Amino acid sequence: MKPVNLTNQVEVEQLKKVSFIFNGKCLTGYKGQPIAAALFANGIRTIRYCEVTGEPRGIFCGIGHCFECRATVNGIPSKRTCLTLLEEGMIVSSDKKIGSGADFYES
Amino acid sequence: MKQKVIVIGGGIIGTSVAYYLSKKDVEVTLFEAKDIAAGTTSSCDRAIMLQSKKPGPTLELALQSAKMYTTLELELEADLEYQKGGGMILIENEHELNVMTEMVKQQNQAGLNVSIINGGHAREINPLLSKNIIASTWWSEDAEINPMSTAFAFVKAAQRRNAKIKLNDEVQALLIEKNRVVGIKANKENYYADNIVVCTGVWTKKVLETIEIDVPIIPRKGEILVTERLPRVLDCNILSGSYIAAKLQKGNDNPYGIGLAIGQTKSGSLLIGGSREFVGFDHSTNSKVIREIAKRAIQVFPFLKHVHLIRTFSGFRPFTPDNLPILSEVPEVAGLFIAAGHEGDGIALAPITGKLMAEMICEQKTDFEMKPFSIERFTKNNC
Repeated sequence: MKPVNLTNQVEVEQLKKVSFIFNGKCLTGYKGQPIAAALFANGIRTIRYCEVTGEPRGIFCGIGHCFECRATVNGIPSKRTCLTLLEEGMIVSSDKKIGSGADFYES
Repeated sequence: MKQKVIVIGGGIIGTSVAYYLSKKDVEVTLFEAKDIAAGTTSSCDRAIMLQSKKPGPTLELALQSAKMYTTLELELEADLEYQKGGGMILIENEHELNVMTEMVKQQNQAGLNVSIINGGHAREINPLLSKNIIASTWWSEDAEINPMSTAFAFVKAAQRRNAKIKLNDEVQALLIEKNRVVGIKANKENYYADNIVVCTGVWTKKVLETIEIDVPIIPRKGEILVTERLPRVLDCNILSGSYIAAKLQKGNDNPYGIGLAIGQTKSGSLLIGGSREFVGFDHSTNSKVIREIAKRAIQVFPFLKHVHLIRTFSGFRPFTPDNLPILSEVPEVAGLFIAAGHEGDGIALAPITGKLMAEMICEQKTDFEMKPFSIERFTKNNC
């Protein structure tokens, strides 16, 4: 899918470009932007997969209610990417499936 | 003519009593004011934990009950989410270690093969436990079950044996003739029976007040926290040393009676309890209590710091003054029985309660010494 540029209408010069990693891939976004928005701007719509059905999940409400856009951010699972703001060097990954075991939480 | 028995109450105790009665040659009808498992049975956790039982008659009942649970899924032909994952009581300091060492000694004498393991061993079983846990008890026989599924399975199995189930049918009165119970009135209709068994938990006092029988069962509220779904992080039941203290406490140094109890449901949520409070039938949850339970849970499982709670709920345990259930005939009223007052042990004790009550009602005798559970222990003391 073609990247969507969500920053066209914004005063771009105020924004600082940062790089971050999503599922092992290095991407760029703007500091202070919601992670979900940065992913969307990079053409990424699937943020995680439903633990029960395995269906793809992404931004649904975009305002923190639906919990569909959860991801592991810097090792902390189930962060809502629509409410978590992007910073330089963040490591974001799709939440692992149920049953993947306790090692998931080992720090 | 067949013996007719009416069971009042569709919680795990009433449904168990109805099921074991249905195995005898009697006509069983169960009356439930709301729905199956609508009260305490759907607002509790899932532990069948023997380690937490007071050594004595309750533990003896619990041992027999636990044995019955191992084959209950086969017997009821239903998935009850039964799992024998073991159980541990966490020990955080030297004082708790001394207390638990003494308790384990008593349990070993009572026939429970509980041991005390060091912190390293506890973390081998539960790798996510805090490094501050210095030791824990361990018993591989502790188990868990889905209480709601169990109540429904008892009902279905009883129905297959021709028991009748009446839902949304609140019993308004007990019909008494010449010091004998002859039936009940529900929904403006009279239903006649040879025996009535009252299995209404915290509502037992209210049911029997109508015939001026005083039953000292009062609600003891507990609050439980529910987390989001997690990967399998726990296969066993976890209690904290303070849970045991809160259960048996007489003093007032822990006003909310907070003690930790953690288990994981089949769908992945953790159920984190709990508290013990005497506040009547106020079922609100208290943010202070919730915060305190959460704080203690994080102390023993640091990873919980980043886990979301999705809801909280409260339930009422049917408390009796001596922590023993009432499994008894009512001496003043022939034909009338009570099976209630299990406090937090109702899930663990449900199968044995049903079996013993069925024996008591149909054969007038049981293999078990029932005297400690008689209602007379309360009336006699008052004389």
